[in-house]
Amino acid sequence: MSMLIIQSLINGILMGGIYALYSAGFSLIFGVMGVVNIAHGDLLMLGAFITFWMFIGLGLDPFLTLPFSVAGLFVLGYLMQRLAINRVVGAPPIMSYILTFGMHLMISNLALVAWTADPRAVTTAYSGANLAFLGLTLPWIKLITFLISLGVIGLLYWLLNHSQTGRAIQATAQDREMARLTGIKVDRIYALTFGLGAAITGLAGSMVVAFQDVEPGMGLPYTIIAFCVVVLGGMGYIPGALIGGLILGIVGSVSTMLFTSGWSIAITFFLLYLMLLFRPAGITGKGIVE
Amino acid sequence: MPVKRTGFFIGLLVAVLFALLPFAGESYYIQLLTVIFYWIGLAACWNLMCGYTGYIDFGSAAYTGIGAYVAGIIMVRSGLPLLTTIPLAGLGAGVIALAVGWPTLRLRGAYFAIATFALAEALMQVAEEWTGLTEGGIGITIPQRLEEFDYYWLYLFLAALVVAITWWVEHHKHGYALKAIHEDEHAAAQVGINTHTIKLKTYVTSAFFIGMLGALEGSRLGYFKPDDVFDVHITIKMVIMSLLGGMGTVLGPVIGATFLQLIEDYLGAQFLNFYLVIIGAIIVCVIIFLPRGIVGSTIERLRLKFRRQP
Repeated sequence: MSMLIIQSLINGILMGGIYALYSAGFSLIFGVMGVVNIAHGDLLMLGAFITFWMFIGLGLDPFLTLPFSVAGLFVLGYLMQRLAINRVVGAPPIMSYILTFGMHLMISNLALVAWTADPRAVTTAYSGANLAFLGLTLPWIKLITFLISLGVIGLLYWLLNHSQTGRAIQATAQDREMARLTGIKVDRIYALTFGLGAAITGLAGSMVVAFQDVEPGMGLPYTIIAFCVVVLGGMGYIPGALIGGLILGIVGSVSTMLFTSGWSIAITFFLLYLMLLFRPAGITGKGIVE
Repeated sequence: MPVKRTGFFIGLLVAVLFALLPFAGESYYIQLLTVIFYWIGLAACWNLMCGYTGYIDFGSAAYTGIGAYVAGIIMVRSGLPLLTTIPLAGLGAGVIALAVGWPTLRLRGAYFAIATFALAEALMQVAEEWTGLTEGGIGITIPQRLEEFDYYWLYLFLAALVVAITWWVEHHKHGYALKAIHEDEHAAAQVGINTHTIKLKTYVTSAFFIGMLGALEGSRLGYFKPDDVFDVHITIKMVIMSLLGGMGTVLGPVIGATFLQLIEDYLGAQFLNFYLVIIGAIIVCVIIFLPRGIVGSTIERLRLKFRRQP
């Protein structure tokens, strides 16, 4: 029993890396623009499908498809922001929720029409390979996705704090008008931010194929998980996504092992509720509450 | 008579006329109207909270689901008559709304949207898994049913009631407070409006009525599963109907619900997935090009046209 719990802790931590990665994108978009992106899980789904089709159609190794889904989702995110969401950034926040809700409907149902609801698996020659010790198993492929996730979150954090563009993004988040006065093209920064958030979400989507089958309806649960992750870690605070992601991965995995996956969603919500009740700014207390 | 009151009496007259319609004989239109009144009721509830305060509930289906299950379980377990279980269903929904609204309505609107969105998903899972109480995915069969016309009248009554409440709110201090919250919550709090209490009251009222409507619809269906009554598409329709008609207006949900239900009657059954793609596209276009909805944009245009010269 204790071995089972340790094994599910390990699985949870590995899954938590993915959660943290795409939730960092969600958090970035919220922190900079105040947009709650309800279509976020659908971007992850698109990333997963890019990997699936390149793997099936071109026979590319799933890890080699990562740059394509990063690039593809960056362009899509940039355009979504540039063509639609930019128009509602200054408007009351509800407009952006409803707008991204409409995008969620469009993306997920177009995918359903195009690809049907069949779950599809990406199975490579090395999918089953794992590192076994003390009766525990550590699948190599999941371990690699975990390390990539950590690396990319670190890279994002570094970019935001040390590059010219990153500092422009932060300035825009803090004060839109002051940023404009200093010569920052705010619209372009917004589009870039959304593109960046979408790109790392596409990356997470490409790697999620190591954990589950690909299907058009997979996005929505991931959106809900992203909500919980960023509330746990603090809305708009990037390193918080890492903490929130790991916690949620562990909670999800352990509660699925002890009960069923249905209960694990209910428990996740209960956790979210407790956080909102007692510590809305997240565990670190650095989230945006007002 | 002031213009405000004339509007109210015209509305009342229309409702009475519709109430007399079944005496003209049974027809296809009664069934269609029954469904339309149901959706007007739901959309008006959503609009009352979300249209006026700007706090968006993305999980209203939680309350149709709670309503349907509370009424259904009470009927199955205790055999109470259907009509007495309806207010209990409303109360059940109201209590959950109080518990969810209490912490989240203190925070930014984003948190409220998130919490309600997750609530509906979580409750659906609980209903699936807690088989001892809800029969889970097997579904629950409701032992009692009203006559077809009774549903027509009850839905008409509830829809008219919620629209009347909205009308009252629009012309009363309560409504001014809600609008002030929508415009600028800090300023509203500074002029002495107890913003948290007033939002919470409105939210619980709206959930109470959604719960009753959900309970009635559950008994009208006769048999349902968790994913029928907690269906995310119920919420989606409430949002779109209010949005199309115009959020924060009395007649917006009435027009939006009628319009969308008629479209769906023709398109929805044949192409369900494409229908949702089109609905998604409509939302995106309305937000970008017609952000105040049909009624809201018309009122704005009329106001500009007939504005008194200073």
